[in-house]
Amino acid sequence: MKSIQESLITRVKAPARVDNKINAIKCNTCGNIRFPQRTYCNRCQGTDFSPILFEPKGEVITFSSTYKKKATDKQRIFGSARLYTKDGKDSIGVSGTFDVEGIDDLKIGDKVELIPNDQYNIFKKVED
Amino acid sequence: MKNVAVVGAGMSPFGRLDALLYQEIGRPAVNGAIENAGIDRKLVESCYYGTCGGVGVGHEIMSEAGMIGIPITRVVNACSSGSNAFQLAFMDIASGMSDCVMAMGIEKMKNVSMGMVGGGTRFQIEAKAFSHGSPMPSGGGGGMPAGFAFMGRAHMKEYGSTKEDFANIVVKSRRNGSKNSKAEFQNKMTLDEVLDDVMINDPLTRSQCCPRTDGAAAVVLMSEDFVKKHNIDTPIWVKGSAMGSNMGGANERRFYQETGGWYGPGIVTDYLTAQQVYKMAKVEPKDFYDRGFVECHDCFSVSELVHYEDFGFCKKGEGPAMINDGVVEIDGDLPINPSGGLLSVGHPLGATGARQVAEIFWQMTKDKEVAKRQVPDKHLDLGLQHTLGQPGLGFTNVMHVFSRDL
Repeated sequence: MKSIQESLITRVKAPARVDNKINAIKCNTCGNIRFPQRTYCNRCQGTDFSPILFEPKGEVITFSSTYKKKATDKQRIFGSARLYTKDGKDSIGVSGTFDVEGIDDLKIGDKVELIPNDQYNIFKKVED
Repeated sequence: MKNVAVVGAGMSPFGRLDALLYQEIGRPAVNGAIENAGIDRKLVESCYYGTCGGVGVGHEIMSEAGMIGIPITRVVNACSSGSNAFQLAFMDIASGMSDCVMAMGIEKMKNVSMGMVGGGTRFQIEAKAFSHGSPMPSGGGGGMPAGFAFMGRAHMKEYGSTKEDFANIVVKSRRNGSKNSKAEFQNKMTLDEVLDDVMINDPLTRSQCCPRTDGAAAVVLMSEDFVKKHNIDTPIWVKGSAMGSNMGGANERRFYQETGGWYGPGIVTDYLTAQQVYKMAKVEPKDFYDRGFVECHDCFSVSELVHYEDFGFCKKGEGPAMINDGVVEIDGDLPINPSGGLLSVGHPLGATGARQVAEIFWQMTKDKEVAKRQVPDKHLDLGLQHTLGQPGLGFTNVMHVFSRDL
């Protein structure tokens, strides 16, 4: 029998990625996408979901550069990208860093792909 | 609902005030508001004060100012704390509970965990959920400047705005701030100086990010009955009051559902809250042209520019023309942030909302406090106040409309 505390937990123990695809759920009542996964829908409070996977490929939504406290600090480019389901009907915004040298090496709309990584979202640019 | 007016305002100098006690920072604000209103402090029946870092400081300040024994409520809502305190004071009187209320805000930023408001350690943790499992880069990665840098870059892509457009907001802000003896920054800056400043999150340079500032501000509010009873000759009436909030993309989705359209780079909650406050005040954005002025939450250059569009003062993408054509200058068609705004005056989170209301009150009553930056007479019919708080990952927006006419 679950303790009171355990009964209130809404987090779902599910891997963030499956075969490098974003492992989300879609509410069967209202269509809301939930990621990271939870036991309820934050739009309609429904609890009936279907699994949905987002391909690791998409395009840059927006980005910026990190602040360099010291001149020797490595400056990273980070922001978010939109990833799509295989049929292209659903999409999700995912943030992470971009594997490029500088801010001028990236444009909004550039095609990117998630590099396989269990801990961080790192995108690399890919050809159209 | 009872009519409510602002009848007095006060503020401390804004800046780095580490050596001062909360009571020492708050005293000139609270006493200034009482003196400015010209009332007996015993009339004040309750107090709401915004502060993110100072637990119980409102009680100490009100006690030091001889106003203890009344209900005193601390309000914590990130950058909107001061506005939220003002709104509660307004509601207190509008509901008939009280006739004279103090709304105050104070902050010593060294005591504020920016994690609480989205910029620090906790944000990095929460951002993990927001970013779908990917921690934002530490050391200047996530946080407030980055969020607005993202917005700015998206605006540049969608509408062709430039880094110069954003930087020009700071040039205007510093020009106004140079006329404000209580502003943290009173030096003017050129466009090149803004653009060449230290890069924080591209395209935002340091001077395009508001400073972490200490300070306090306070205003006194009264019911119409009390205004008449105590012969207040320059009441400024609260015509509209609204708050909006969102969480992540919730408002984006709502906007999609209601309009079927993409909102574009900007703050949907700004748009929705503005619609609410305009409706209550029975005004439209065009009414502010030639008749009004604005004190808005320019926490970053990008934010002020998108506010022009989100408030409906221009179409989406036309914000740059408003700054570049001088529309928003003190002598322009629609003065925005004549005080110098957050970018020059500074941003003590809990105090900013009250400080903005104080500016609007002083401008509309042509107080000597704003003599050097006085908005022309024809603009004093309407005042719009706005703060944009981020108590978590979503926004909390508070807006008020003021008028000299009941």
